[in-house]
Amino acid sequence: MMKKKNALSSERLKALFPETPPAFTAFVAHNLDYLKAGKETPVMKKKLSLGLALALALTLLLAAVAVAAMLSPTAEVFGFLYGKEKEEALLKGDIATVGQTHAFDDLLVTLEEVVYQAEGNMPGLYGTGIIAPKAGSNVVLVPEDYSVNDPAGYAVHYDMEMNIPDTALSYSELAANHGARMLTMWVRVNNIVIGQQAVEADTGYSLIPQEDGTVRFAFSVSDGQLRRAESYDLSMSVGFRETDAQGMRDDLHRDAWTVRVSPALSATAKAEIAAQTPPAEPAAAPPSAPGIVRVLGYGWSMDEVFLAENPARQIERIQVEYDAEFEHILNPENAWDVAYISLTQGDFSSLVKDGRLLNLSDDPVIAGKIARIHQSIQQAVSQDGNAYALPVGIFGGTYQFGAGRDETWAQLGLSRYLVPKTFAQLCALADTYMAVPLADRKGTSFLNNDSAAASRYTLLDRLVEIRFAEAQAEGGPLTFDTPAFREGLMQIEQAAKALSGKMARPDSNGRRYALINENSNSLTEDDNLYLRLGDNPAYTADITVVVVNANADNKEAALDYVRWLSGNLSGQFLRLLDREMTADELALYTIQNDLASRKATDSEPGDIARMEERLKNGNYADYGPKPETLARYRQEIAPNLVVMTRRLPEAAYYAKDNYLKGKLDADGLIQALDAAVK
Amino acid sequence: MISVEQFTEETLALTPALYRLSMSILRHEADCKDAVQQALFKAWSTRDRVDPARFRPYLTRIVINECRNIQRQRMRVSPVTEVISTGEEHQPEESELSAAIALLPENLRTPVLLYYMENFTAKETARALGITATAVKNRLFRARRALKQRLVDWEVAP
Repeated sequence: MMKKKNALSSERLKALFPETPPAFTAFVAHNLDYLKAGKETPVMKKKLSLGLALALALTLLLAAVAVAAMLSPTAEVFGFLYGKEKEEALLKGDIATVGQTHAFDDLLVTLEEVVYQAEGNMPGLYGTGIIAPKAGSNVVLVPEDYSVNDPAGYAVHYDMEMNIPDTALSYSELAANHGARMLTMWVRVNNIVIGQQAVEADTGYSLIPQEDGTVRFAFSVSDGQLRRAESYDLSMSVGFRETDAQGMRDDLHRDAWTVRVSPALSATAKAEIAAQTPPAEPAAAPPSAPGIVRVLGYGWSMDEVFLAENPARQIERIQVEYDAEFEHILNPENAWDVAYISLTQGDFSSLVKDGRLLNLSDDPVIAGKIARIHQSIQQAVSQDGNAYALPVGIFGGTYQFGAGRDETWAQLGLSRYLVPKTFAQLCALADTYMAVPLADRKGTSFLNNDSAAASRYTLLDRLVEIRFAEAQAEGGPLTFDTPAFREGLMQIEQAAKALSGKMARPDSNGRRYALINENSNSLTEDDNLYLRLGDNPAYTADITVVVVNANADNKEAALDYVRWLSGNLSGQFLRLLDREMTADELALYTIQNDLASRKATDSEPGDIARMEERLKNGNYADYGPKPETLARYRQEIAPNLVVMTRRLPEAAYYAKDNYLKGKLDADGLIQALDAAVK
Repeated sequence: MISVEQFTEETLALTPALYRLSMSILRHEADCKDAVQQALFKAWSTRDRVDPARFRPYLTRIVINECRNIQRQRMRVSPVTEVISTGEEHQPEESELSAAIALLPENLRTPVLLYYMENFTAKETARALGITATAVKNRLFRARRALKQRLVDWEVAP
């Protein structure tokens, strides 16, 4: 009898799907390029976490009595992460055994080894070492990413099946038992100098707690200008914050030092180093030619469709740092034709007043489309009856909380009727959560973090954000000095007090599920809580718009693009922007729009044929919103929509930080926030 | 935390899987692009909190959530028979398999595709779906049982 084919073979299942179109892969690569263009923003620190493999590797290192002498701990460790190929590539690398120790306060940092990997994927510098308490000190080391309530010495972030015993002490319990200082700490490689030249490269690091109370660090430095060399000067730093039992971290103490590492070099390596030439300077961008539209910001997914329908045009994408589009167009020296910006990025009205933006009301096609948009949104892009931007995207003005998994609520024995509707109810829920017996709370947390300090931080963050949005919605003076905000601060303190009780342990895999999740800023998310402080019925929105440079070199080409865009807005946003189309019309628009998009992106012919068939048969209602959903949005949300024009300035962050550290009281915080937004 | 280069490398390596997965839910390439783009932005903004060893299920989970958001936003319920199809002419038995997979409800289909097609481990599948590994195993069992009932000419081996 002939053997039957297995239905669940990976290859057979894959054959049921179309090949990934090259355009799709290119689209993803394009997005990645864009994201990477903003990688230098200071808020985005870089770190490599080695994960389960590293923890396993370290476990094996400890149990390696029967194993032959280790050729390279770095190769061994990273081999577990990336596989045998990586391990072999590192073993062929230039290995420097270091063993250098740096002392700082109560910490001893020993860099054990550094390897330059020249061959294979992700060439670069890799290394590992140990952070230990100084002899005679009385400290508990907590890796930077860990909570004081995590079981000490367990690498809980890596989702290993560890069977953590219920008797395992948390970091805070361990510190309390020994009367020790608790130090939340890290070690990093900040940059590298080769010869006399600082090298720009991405650095990553990871911290793995060990059962003996030490912490292993590992790092990788790669990409950029990093090259093979006879020696490398590693600029390293160590930092710690003294942390209290609630997880509140004090000021940062930091120290830096430099280590020169000189790997053993093979003849091949020496020859390669000798043959190196300095990297070439990047070529200047060519000047813009007629027919080219220079586009700044989002909207790449529309490019292919536009070009398919407008073969005489070309699109040149302008790359800027993440979220720096407005800053780019603010500088009259910068060249651009069309830009996608958020109205919260800068003072839109001043751009209009300064004559920097083209009046889109002069174009009958674009003006006609804008006239169909909800009044509240139209007003945000208009001055003196003229529109200077085409709204293309819309999101809620604040991030939202959402109720956690049904299973979590059920485990805690809490009714979904307790899902909060106001900020006050959210804070009160902390008390209810903590009243659940500790054993029943196992594997759960109140918010997506598990210490009173972290929850206090999150709640304050959200309180400030909500007040900031509501103040813009009220339209009066932008102040935080309101009774509701003051009450909110007190409610946070009550919640933090409740959460300072004993926190639940993670489940056996080191995981905790939150009762209340942090959700997105979508205006259509089903389970968003839309918590409020005041009675203002406004919903705040962050609008993305498209503007045209009044001094564009290729004005006609730019207008062509925006004209086309005004008739091809994403169906996802059009239903939130347009005030006239019926659900049926939106469905028809969406299927037609999607069909055009599919054709332009060389989608599967069979799928296109089926869509055409559905279009022909009128079977496309599911492409549009439900009529009742659309009606509710138009009745409840759209008329109350207030478009935000500002973002919280950075000074607000420091005000919050000082309040959390006890350096400001409620009055001080309110004064600092008011000063920040003035 | 995941480094920039790893983020890039792993995302590109995962792209075919994300394409198949998003197509299995949204059935529409433009929607898939939206979902993947949104997911990349979200994953990027939180990459300082992501463990590289968990990046694959992490990004997959965000993509699945974005697919579901788009589905909700567009109120789109594609006929199940259209969910999976290459548009090519299949052999009769391949058509049978295609239809059987397509007829699985989404909560069973996605685990099957992640586990069997993309070779995710049960843990990775669980993480990508935000459910427990036990729930994954239960769903795979239910999916296999459903497939066995529909597939005459195939073996449905775990």
